Amino acid sequence: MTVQSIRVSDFTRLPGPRYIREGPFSGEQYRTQRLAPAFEAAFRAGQTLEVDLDGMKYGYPASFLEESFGGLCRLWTDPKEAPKLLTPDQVWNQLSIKSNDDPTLVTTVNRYIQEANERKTTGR
Amino acid sequence: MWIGPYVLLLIGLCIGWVARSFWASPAIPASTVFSAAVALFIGWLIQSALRRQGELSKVPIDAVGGLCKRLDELIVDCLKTSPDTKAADPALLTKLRSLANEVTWLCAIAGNLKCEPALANLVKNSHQDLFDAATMGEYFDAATSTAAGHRLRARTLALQWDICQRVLERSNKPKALRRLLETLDPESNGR
Repeated sequence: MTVQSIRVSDFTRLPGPRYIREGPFSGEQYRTQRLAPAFEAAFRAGQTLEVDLDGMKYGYPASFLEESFGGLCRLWTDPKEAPKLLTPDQVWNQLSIKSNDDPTLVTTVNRYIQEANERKTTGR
Repeated sequence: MWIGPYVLLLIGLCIGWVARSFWASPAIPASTVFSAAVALFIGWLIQSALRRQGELSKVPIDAVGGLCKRLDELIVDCLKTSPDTKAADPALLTKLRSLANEVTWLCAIAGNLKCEPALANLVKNSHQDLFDAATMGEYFDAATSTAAGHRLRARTLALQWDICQRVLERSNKPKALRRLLETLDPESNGR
């Protein structure tokens, strides 16, 4: 399977809070402007989306990652909103997470995707 | 092998012989002097081998001790964060990223020494809990973070204990232990 790539560092090197109303460069903003469109494009092209998490100045807050990746999973597992209904496993398999700066983030993102529907709802 | 032990054996034999000939009773048989010197020699060999093994196993144990001390300090530093600190605070994120790297390193050592995988998983899980507690909300959650931090410290101690046990189990095979630890460096090629 071919791969499309995006880098979070192209969006910001200082990831912010969870929601747009809480401050700049939020997880919600990243999801709606970058991650979700790239994910949908990769999905429609039958490709894997590689997300490069490296290059942050300080690191990620959990809220940013949860809102980006957990929010993406909530969107694609919601029967009313999903462009095509997927399971959390299918969302995860569609992604390839690269994180050399902090290798624990790969497991973290996987967990946020698997537990997405047990957590807060998107855009609250 | 270093010639020291043989010199020691020779000196012991000479002293024994002189004592037998000029000072003690010449009635002491030469074989007794020889057996005493050999016993001394073997005793010295055993104690030096044991000491060498002890010193060799101290190297990885000290390294793991230092690593766990750094982990402990980073956890305490994170827990000192004020509750009005935002989750995206650079100082907090820097500490958490350092903590994540130290946890990864500790678990890599534990994996190479064939420690109980459940112990390493508990450390990883409690690290994730601390990361979530500290930065999942808009602000640092001191109460939840403190509980997660205490769990991480306790589990790190348990893993440190297991690593030390694995090192001591291999203390009579220092070369095998060194080979296991060298695989942590992918570029070492077993050198």
